[in-house]
Amino acid sequence: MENSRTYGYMLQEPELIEGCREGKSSYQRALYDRYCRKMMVVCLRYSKSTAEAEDVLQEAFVKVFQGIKEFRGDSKLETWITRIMVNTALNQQRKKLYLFPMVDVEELDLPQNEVSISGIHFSQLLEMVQALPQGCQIVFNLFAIEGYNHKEIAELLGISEGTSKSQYARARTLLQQKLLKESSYYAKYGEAKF
Amino acid sequence: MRNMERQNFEDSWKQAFREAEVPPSDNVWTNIELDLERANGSRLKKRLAIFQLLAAAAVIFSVGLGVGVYIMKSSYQSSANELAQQLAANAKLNEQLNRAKDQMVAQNHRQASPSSTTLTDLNDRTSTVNAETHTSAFPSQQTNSSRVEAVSATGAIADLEDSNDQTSLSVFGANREEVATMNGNSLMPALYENRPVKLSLPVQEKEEVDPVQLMLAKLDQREKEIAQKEEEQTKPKAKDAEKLWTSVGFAAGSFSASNAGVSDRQAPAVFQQNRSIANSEAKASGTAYTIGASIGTKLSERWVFQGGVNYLTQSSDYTANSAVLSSDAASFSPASINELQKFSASDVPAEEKLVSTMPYNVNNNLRYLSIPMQAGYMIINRNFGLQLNAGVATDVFLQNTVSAEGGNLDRTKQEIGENSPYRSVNLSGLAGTELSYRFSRKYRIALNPGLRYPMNSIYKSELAVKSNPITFDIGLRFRYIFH
Repeated sequence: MENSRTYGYMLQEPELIEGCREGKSSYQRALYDRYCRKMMVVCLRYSKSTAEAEDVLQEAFVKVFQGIKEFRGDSKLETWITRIMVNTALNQQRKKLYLFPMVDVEELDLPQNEVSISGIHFSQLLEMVQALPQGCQIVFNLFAIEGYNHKEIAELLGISEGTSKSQYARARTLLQQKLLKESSYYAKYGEAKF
Repeated sequence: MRNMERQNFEDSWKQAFREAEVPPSDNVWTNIELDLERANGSRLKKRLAIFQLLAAAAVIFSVGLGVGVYIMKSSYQSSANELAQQLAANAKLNEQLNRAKDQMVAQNHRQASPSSTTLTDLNDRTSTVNAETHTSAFPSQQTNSSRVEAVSATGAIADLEDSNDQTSLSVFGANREEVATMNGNSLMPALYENRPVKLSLPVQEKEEVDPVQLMLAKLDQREKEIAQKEEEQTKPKAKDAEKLWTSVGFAAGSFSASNAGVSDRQAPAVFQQNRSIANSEAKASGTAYTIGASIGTKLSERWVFQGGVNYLTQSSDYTANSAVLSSDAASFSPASINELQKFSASDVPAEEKLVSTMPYNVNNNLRYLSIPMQAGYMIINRNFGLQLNAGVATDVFLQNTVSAEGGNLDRTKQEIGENSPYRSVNLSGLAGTELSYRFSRKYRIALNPGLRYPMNSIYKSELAVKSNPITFDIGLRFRYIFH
């Protein structure tokens, strides 16, 4: 019973944290089961492939289990885990950014009409984000989804605030262009192609 | 307006991913578990290293403590000796003082009137002449110095001053002239009651459990546990142990009998006369093939015993330049030891039947049933195995076939029996190695390079043809392990 996944969902969060602090494998599994799907999305947003995302997920969960003793409960457990995922993903990306540093990019023309993403399945949105250039992908995630401001992003990534802004603007334009293409496809065929 | 749009854009993306879920593959959890175990393992190692350091520190501390106690004990002993020497010196001084006192008393007697009081009396009567005697300081246990002045009835004064460092006794006559002075390091024991000196060694504390020893014992026990665990891990589990197995396999190799030939004196006449035919066949080298099955068992941790049945063929080629006419004179067969044997057993002279020919190639094919029995020593007994084998094989001759290349001549076939020139049963020595790999719980594959050497000539002894072909072959065996 202890090892079953159902049992993990029945546990209260403090109980789950306590079990993980004691290093109990069944509790670790329960915590993993509870958050792995959501966290996989976080990792996918920062990665280019599923394999890469799974590597990040694995590394980050190991950090979660090793660092849960230090979790003071100031924030929600999910927020804390998400932060570890993002930091781990950024560490992975930093290695690549070291080779190809982020620079100011030219601003592209935004499409005239703002295209809404409502009705588009998140997996397709995920694909769009993954298809962004490296720098744009990271800055977009940090700014639009994680909610960091450009100053914080600049500090996090060791770039200038201007670079962060220009990368974000480019990301936004690229996404808008893709969304426009998708919406024209819907208009033509009436339903999503996935 | 633009900012508003931007805000909406970001919010909509945030919203889209808020409840999104993608299941990762099952491997992720497995890898996480492995990583955690690895991390725990390294932590344990670090902890062990700390314990080892602590143990080393404890040993150093214990040794230091032991040395310290020894040194202290030695110095205490020497202090005691010094003290004893000092006491002896004091006793000597007291004696001198007593002598001085006696001298002073005598002098006092000479100088003073007969009614004068001796110093001894003075001492005795100090309490009675209280009015004339004053004590400037009373000796007591608390004070470090004392001074006693006694005045005799004649006016002579004895002044005794004692401090921790110096004790002096001065005696003055009635006119205050100094009569005698005596100094000593410690006159006190003579004038006052001797202070008892008690020497004692530090009392040994009750035996308590030494925490260092306790920790070392615990560490020792832990190490034993770990070693035992490792041993258990490295030892094949009982259910996986290889106690009995059977194997099938084949081997291929070559044999050579370069030292073979016909013995000059003992060989029958026909062999001596046709030495070249016998020599070329006996010296022929060729290929050997073996196919067979065996069964093996473990005798002990390292020793194994293997036995089995093999079908062995040895095929050699030699060149002949004569042929033998058949009894019906209708055909020829290749010249061979088989034919020479027949000649030696019959009355027909070989010359009548043997015909010289152009050199041609003859193939001699020997077949044996071999029953090997070998003892093996396992040098490595893991999934990868390395074993040394040695033993004997009983080779039962089955038949030999002599055929000429091209098929123009008849093929001669001789089976085991009196008519065969080959020894029916022979013993061969076997030696070899076995490199094996266990690829599953029940199967092991092995490569067996080995040597085979017949202990006697393969030909019957009465023929006096010596041939002990040494065979080197490499076998491949598949072993099935019984559980």
